[in-house]
Parts: sequence; C-alpha cells; structure tokens
Amino acid sequence: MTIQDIHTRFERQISLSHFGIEAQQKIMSSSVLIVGLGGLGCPALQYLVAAGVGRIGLVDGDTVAIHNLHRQILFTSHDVGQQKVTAALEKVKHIHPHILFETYPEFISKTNAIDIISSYDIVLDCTDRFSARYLINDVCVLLNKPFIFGALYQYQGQLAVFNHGEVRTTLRDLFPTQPNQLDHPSCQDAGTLGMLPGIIGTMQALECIKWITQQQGLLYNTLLTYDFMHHTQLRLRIAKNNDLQPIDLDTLLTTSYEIDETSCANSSEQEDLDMTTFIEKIKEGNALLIDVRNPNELPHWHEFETIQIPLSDLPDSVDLLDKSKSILLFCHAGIRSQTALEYLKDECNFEHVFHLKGGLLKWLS
Amino acid sequence: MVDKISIQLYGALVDTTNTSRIELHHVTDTDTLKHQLSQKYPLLATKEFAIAIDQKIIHTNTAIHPESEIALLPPFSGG
Repeated sequence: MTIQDIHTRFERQISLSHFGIEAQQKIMSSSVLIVGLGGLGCPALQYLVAAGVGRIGLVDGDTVAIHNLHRQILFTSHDVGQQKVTAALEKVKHIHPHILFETYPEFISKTNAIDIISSYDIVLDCTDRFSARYLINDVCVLLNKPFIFGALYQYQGQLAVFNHGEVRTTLRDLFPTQPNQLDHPSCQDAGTLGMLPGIIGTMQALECIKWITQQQGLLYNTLLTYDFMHHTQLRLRIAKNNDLQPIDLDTLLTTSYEIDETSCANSSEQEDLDMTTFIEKIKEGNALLIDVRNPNELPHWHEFETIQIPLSDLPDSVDLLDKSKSILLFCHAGIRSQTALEYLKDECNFEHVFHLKGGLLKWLS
Repeated sequence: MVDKISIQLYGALVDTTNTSRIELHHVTDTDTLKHQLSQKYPLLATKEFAIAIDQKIIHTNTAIHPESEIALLPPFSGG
C-alpha cells in the first residue's frame, strides 16, 4: 500500500489524537493470533481486519452450527457445516485485501500451541473452555507473549490483558489451578445473548489495538467485570501470586489440560444419569424427585411428582429428606443438580444420590 | 450497634446462593469471612472463587474493615 492509500483508508483512525500514521504503521506491521472463532472471536476478527492488522492467524477446529448464528453474526445459514476458519476467512478477506491470513482448522492443544503462538506478537483468547484458556496462558508465559482474555457468564463479561508489563500477572494469579469445567457452565450450558460476547470480543480487539500502538490505559494487572444487565462494572487490581510455581517447558508438557473434559468431577458415572436411566430410577419407586431450579423456571415437569428445593435452600432442607430413599436431582443444565449431588454426598453423607446429566436442556431439546 | 459488612457476588455464585449481595456481621479478616460464609451458605464452600477486598484480588489472609468493599468472583469460561 502507498502512503496515500493508507491515509485514505484509515484517515478516521489516523486523525485520532495520540495515533497518527506511526500508530497505523505499527498496526500494519503487527501480527495477532485469534484462538476461538465463536461469539468473542468473530467480532474481534472483524474489527482487527478493518483496523489493518498486518497478519492475522485464526485457530478453531470447529464447524459452524445453526445454534451459533444468534451470536456469531459473521456467519450465515449457508456456512452451517463449514470449518469456522474457512467461513470466517471467506467473509473478512474482502474487507481489506492487504492482510495476510493464516488459518489453523484445529483446536489449540499441547501439540500445536507452541508452534502456532510463537509466530505472533499477541494472542486473543476467545475460547470457551478452561482447558484451552490455561494452555494459552501457560504457552504465552513460556514464550513471553501478552494475551487478551475475554470470558462470559450469562449477563456478565470479563476482560483483562495478561502477561504484560513489569509484573506480568496472568490467569493463574486469579485462579492458580485450572478449574474443573464441569463445575463451571459454558455459554452452551448457561446461555447467552449474542450482544454480550459481541461487546467483550470488541473490547478484546480494542485492547489489542491499544497494545500494538502503545496507548495509555491498557487493562493489565486488572480484571474488568461488566454486568450488562445493570450496566455496572467492577475493576479489580491483580497482584502477582508469589506461591505460584514458575512455568517451564517441562511443567507445560506434563500438565493435563484436557482433564476437565474427560472426568475429574466428584460425581461418578453411576451418579450422572441420562434421561432413560433417570426415568427408570423414578419408576423404581422409593425415590424423591427434586427440582433444584428456582420456582419461576420453566418448563415444569408434570409427568412425575416433584419436590421443588432451589439449590440455595438445599442446606436448610436437608433434614427433611429421607436418606433411605434415592434422591434424584435435576435442573436446567445439570450444573446446579451436580452441585447439589456433591453437597448431599460429601457434606451430608447421603448414599443414594443421582442427577440428570445435562439437565432438562439436553434431553428436552 | 454491630457493624455489618456487605459482600457482592458475581457469576454462578448468584445461582448458588440465590442472591447477588450478602450482609454479614463484621468479621476482621478474610479467613474468618470464608468460615462464616461456609457456615451460612454451605454450598459456597463447595465452589471456587477469588476474593477481592477494596478492588484488589487477595492471595493471603487480609484485614476487613466495616467499610471494606468485598467481592467474590468465580472463574468465567464462556465465550
């Protein structure tokens, strides 16, 4: 591109104070890796392409599904079934013809992460699982790369620039150990509105441009939590956790990031029931069927007699439950029923407790 | 009059307790706070969360004053 072309295309951002042609040239000579092309990654990609980032890498092993379209507005119904990286590239390559794209139609893993991440200046963590988030965290620490974290829970979103600056705080300074995914709902389990990842993903792109152009006010050593329902925000300072072990190649290679996606929940397979087995248990009799959702949640399950005990009321209601009976727990997505199961087993010594894995959401859809 | 402290809850902790704000009698430090919370909300004891006192994530036992701003944040993973 000639200098005149650059001025013409990017004049509205070049004319910003503290920006200018120097900042634009930094953007055009930078490289950014986006891991995850879902609700966060799609808007981040569109804005980074439009801003003129020189080289962009896209990592995602998933294909476009029809239930992605309510929030991943880069994709259309025609893209369903296609690799996300391919469909995304097809859309954004027309925005700006001078950008170099590299696509990786695979999930980030210990096998590919170091190779892929090492050739980029900065990483956007737009994934939706702790296994990927902690792997990105550790590889970025190992390779000394900054990464921009964005995450959601229902109507709340989080944003942080990790591994930047003198202190270089990371996700492990918030939560040292990778949480068990089964204890923490993803968007698939907890639900989300499309605008929310849209906003957080856009904010990730903004922080990325601020980092590339060395603007003030970068969100590092800080976690921003935004409540979109009430439009309130909480900014928390993060200090280095001095108890953390340093991350080296050996620790990375021996860490089992994928463990949360297989089986490290406290409940065993015998207690996680599918709908058929769950109904068989109900019909066996001598059982209490307990709905741990709040009273206003739908759908009601009229087919069987249920007792409603919202999860938060369970500790006060334990004495009312007959330990000689089977306790059959269910909720919307199987997260609260699993918490209830673990509580009844571990804290209250119940022996015959089961829950509907995946909740009504999984079996009624 | 006994001083109260107010605790703001985020993410799935709101589902666990069915409230986004908890009031407790004043406790002097975060270890005592965790103990009090697990007594009053036993399900919280089964959950992982970070504690922030006056807009700072803490890693060790930290003093709490009546006017301290206290927040509990679970890890977020959705995207």
